[in-house]
Amino acid sequence: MSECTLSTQVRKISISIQKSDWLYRFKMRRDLQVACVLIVIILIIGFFAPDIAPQNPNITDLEGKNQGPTADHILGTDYLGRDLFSRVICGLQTSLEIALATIVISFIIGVTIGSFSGYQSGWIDNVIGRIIDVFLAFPSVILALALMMLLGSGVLNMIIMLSIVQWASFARLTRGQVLAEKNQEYVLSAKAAALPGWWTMTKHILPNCIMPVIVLATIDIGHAILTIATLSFLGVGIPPAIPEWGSMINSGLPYMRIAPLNVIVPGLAITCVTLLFNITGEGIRDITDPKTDNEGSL
Amino acid sequence: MHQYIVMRTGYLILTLFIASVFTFCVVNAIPGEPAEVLAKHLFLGLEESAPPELIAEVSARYDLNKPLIEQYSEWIRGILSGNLGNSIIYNKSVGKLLELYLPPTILLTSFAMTFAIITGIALGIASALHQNKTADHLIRFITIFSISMPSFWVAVMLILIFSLWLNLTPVAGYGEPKYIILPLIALGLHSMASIARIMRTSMLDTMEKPFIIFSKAKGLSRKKILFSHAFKNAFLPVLTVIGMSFGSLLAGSVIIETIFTWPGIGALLMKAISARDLVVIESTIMVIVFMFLIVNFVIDILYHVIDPRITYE
Repeated sequence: MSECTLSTQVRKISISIQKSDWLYRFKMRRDLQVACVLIVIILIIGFFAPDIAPQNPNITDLEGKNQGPTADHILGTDYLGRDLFSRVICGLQTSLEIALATIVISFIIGVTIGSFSGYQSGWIDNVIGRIIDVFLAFPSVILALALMMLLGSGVLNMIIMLSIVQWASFARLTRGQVLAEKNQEYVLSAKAAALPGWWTMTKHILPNCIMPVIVLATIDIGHAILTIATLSFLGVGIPPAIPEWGSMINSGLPYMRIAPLNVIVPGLAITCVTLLFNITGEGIRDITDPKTDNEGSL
Repeated sequence: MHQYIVMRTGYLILTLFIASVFTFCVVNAIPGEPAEVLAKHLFLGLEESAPPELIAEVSARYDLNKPLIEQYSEWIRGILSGNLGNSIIYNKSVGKLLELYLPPTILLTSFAMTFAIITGIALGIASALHQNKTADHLIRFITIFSISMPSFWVAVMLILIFSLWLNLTPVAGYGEPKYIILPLIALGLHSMASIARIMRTSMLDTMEKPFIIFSKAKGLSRKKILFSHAFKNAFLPVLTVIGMSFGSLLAGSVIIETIFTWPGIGALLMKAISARDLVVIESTIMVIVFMFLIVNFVIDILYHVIDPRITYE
């Protein structure tokens, strides 16, 4: 009995050391803290975009098209006289909605399939592994392009398409993590105790190896935002009525010489948001994975 | 080793087969009756509606009314015998089209790749050597910034700055060296950044290995340690990233070629998509996937040749 409580205490202490360890690392990383605060801010802006935008992003004013910055339009107007600043803010909402929905869906699908495959091994694992490989064999823009032609443009179709493109990388990473973890002693003892497989998986294996997958998810939000913009730029993504950064750049192209802000500002917005998620994702990896100690701060 | 190559080749063929079925299904499931779009494209304006007789005639002439499985097996048999089918819009065989459009793409991607590898490795090593100093911070910021920029925007910005504002380079064109500068930078920037980042991490990892400490203790010069010991060992992870970059370069060429009106297969694909030239869409996608798979195949094999410690399982 006393041995049992002792071991529980030891376990508690070791867990608290681990936790304080990455909390301590987080406290040391000023850049990561700033990035996290900025992410919260852009999430708030994205969520309340229609209220924050000073003007309706879809009101056209052909008299005042392609203007430079004025008091009314602090970033000027586009080729239909719509307020660029408001459109960029509402574009944030579009991108974030699609990207976050995609990551949640492909995370759930990828982790479920990947952990199932890795835990099962045998021919099931082989078949699933092949399927994952085929999805990863397509350059992602090509796959996305083909699927968007198939599905047609639209926000929901974009989410479906991106989930199809991105689940495979989550599945592959999770499968690898589970494969590496499942021969550890604690898994064997869980098996020896005849715990059901799903219980061992969700309570014991996944908590120990999910961190790299969360890092991938954070970085993939940035990827998703880039893909959304690229497809909309090519004209197969989001219908033109919805403010979206890629299609804004595309429609600004013919007037690039007279109204350059229309192509500069949306691109900067894409870059900044993607940069933020990239920095955060890598920051989380640095503080949770002691092996990358030499990374230092940005 | 031989066993590994045989197994890897088997996987390659299997993946290609599944990819071809997948491409065929997706392309043929694209909404919009291909015969109707084609009829409009060939004989009428895009706004007019095509009469049913014309649609029937077009689909009969181009074998569009056969069952899909028959169309697929004909397509695959054609590919295996070296005949990729005929483009309806261009009225040429797809093989001829690829002969015309493939060289510009290979030219552009290989220039972009060379640019990415050389600058990427140089930046990565420089960054690792000045770890946590100003140069390192600067390079790391540049690389993470480059990764976060969409390549089409880089292309647009390059045109805006260098062609429209500074008048240094032509906006678009093909045939002379000056035309390739902007596209190759726009295409290669992303890969350059990925290579630089992995080079830095890998170099730092290697510099802490016992054999490097040993060569330091032996009194070897810094240059000798770096280039004849550390670099060789640090290069393996970089090789993997180079392989993956090749795929993103090929896919990225679709976008970059469209922006710079570069006459490559990317631009061909976009044109074929808008005209619903199904045979051309299928074949171009398969060519891109094929090149991507082959490069990764070669790199996988190379990996094993360079590092014999890896087991062939």
